[in-house]
Amino acid sequence: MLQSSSPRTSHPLDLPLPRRPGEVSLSAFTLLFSELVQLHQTSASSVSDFESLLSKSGWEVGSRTYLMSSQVQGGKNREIRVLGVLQFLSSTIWTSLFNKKADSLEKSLNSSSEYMIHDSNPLPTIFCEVPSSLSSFNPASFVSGIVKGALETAGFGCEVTAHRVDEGEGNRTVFLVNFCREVMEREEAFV
Amino acid sequence: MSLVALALVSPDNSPIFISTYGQSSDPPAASSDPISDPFSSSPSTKFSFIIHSALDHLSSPTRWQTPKHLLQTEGDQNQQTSKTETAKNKNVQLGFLGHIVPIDQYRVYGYHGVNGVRLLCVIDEVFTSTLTPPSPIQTQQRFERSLHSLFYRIYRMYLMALCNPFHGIDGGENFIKGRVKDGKYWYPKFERGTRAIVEDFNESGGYS
Repeated sequence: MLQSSSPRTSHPLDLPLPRRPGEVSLSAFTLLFSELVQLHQTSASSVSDFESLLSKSGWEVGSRTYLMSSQVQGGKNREIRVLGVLQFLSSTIWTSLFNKKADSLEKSLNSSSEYMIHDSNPLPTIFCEVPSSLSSFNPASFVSGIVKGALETAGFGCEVTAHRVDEGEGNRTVFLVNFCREVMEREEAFV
Repeated sequence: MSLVALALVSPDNSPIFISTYGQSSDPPAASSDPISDPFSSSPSTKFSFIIHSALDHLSSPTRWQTPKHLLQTEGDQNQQTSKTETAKNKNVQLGFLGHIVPIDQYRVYGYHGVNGVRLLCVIDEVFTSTLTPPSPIQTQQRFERSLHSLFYRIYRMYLMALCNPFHGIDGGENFIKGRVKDGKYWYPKFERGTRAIVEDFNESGGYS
């Protein structure tokens, strides 16, 4: 007599993918990012236009990530100091997005309103290789858009730019955050 | 006590969402111009005025801090954490702001979100339920706690609406910063969800 297979044994293809909640496969994200870059490349008229379009997409990600991260933390603390929000960004938000903390956070010696976030290999751009025809383009402008979105949603208006530190093969990037005048004046009022 | 109006205001004081609930005995204001005023189709201007004056109260210097009794966590074993939280939260408006201002027969309560968005609700003080009349302190605090959870649920609905990728399609910045496009609201799910939460709250007499 034929017996159907017992309900306990299941085919390997039916088993759920072991994945921690909130994690996305790198391949899936890289495919999406490559499509995003190609979309902007066709619609942009110049390199700076290309960078600003990519940065705008990053803005949306950054602002939503900031809101959700602070909600997940309990929503009990709102960052009102510049250093506080930058530390929240470089640790909590970087971890929730890229599964690691940013390498370092520095204050610029040249100007009081500039801060720098170092990242040795920003996750969205690990497979990016810029063609020589677009040598001045930096795909990490997506991440600088994320930073800008998170900071602006927290109430700190700023300009963020991404700069590649030339080390030959390495992809070390520095994100320069320049807070606007109102933010610095507000910060001084706290002291 | 019933919740008669709810408004969501962006960080630069422009309205994102405004809605009234329950029967309103006032006829809609005739002065609203349907072309220039995006809110002419729904709530009367009376609630808009009430919410505007409550916003002025929020930005006045006497209201910089969240009231202390609302900052404490439940249970005495959390005394340590509540102390550090009060220290950190000094001079910061965050979370449930409590009672803001009484206007006419209404009371306005507020909630401050992390990105500067404020939720204001207008409570009708006239007792319409069959429950006991104006409450002593304990029932008042219980009422405020249930209002706190109401605000929390509505704020989470707002966050869910924000995460919808289609809401940014014509300028995501405008949606998150709260600029209403052409006076039209594209948030039907948010509207339905908040309506359900508010009606649930009103039906239970204000104690959900």
